[in-house]
Amino acid sequence: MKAAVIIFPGTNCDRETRKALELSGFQVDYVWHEWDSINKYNLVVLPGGFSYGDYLRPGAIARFSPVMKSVEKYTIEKQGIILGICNGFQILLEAGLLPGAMMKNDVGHFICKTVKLNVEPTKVFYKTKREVELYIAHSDGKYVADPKTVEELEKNGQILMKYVDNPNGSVHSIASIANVTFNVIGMMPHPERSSMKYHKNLDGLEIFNALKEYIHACDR
Amino acid sequence: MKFRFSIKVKMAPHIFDPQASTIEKSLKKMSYPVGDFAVGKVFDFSIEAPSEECARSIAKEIAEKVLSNPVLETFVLEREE
Repeated sequence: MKAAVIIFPGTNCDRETRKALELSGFQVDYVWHEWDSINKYNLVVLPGGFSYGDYLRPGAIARFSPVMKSVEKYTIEKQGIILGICNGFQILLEAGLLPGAMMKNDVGHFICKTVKLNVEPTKVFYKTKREVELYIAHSDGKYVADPKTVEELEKNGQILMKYVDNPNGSVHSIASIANVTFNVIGMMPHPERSSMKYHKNLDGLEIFNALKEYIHACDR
Repeated sequence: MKFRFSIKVKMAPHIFDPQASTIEKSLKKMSYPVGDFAVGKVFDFSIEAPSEECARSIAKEIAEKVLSNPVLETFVLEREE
């Protein structure tokens, strides 16, 4: 199973994400944001970091990178699964591939810590344990959307993870969502930071393993 | 011809902005009688176009598509002399 890790100028979680995906059994390639060929991959990951220095708004400039045209096509043609982690999630929101937006954390500062998350029993993570602990590291992690969108997300089971203690003030404690066709996934927590033995917590690897099973199920 | 524009982007009124709230609270602590505080960004630029109408529509497109996020923000477009 092949995965692409897209690198924008300012991306900084690419290597750890690649390593975690490899541990999960993916064959991984880096894809530079000016390239536009991603159709051979089963999974395309937009990793965390500060693409374009987070200038303007996080993800606002990266969404106009050449590779994003291919990501849109890949999504529409359902060629595989797109996963945006942290800044990757912000890029997917800016690109309109996921509903809603991110704004500054309610606490008014950058948060970097391990948080407890409830993994919702959706078709993406149906086998995963229901409570995991993952890292978050963001300034703009407060997920917002209009009440109708949030209602739709709840109704369709598009909310994949919720914070137990909602550290950033996200509406309905949302930490991860999928689009309505479940081929675009965004999550603020960093599963790649809890995937290696030295992390002493493998909850993130479990998330990647679940994703791999989900891709298998979609291919069948 | 060259036309100069200024675009002001700020949070939509129904969105709580922690940055504005923090600044407002601090000013109140200093006993300034402030309220309804908002924080935004200003973008000044010029556009090369055959007419003002054409330049204005390009500026509006830039504001809608790139400089603001319609989920959170509103913008005001002004022509500068």
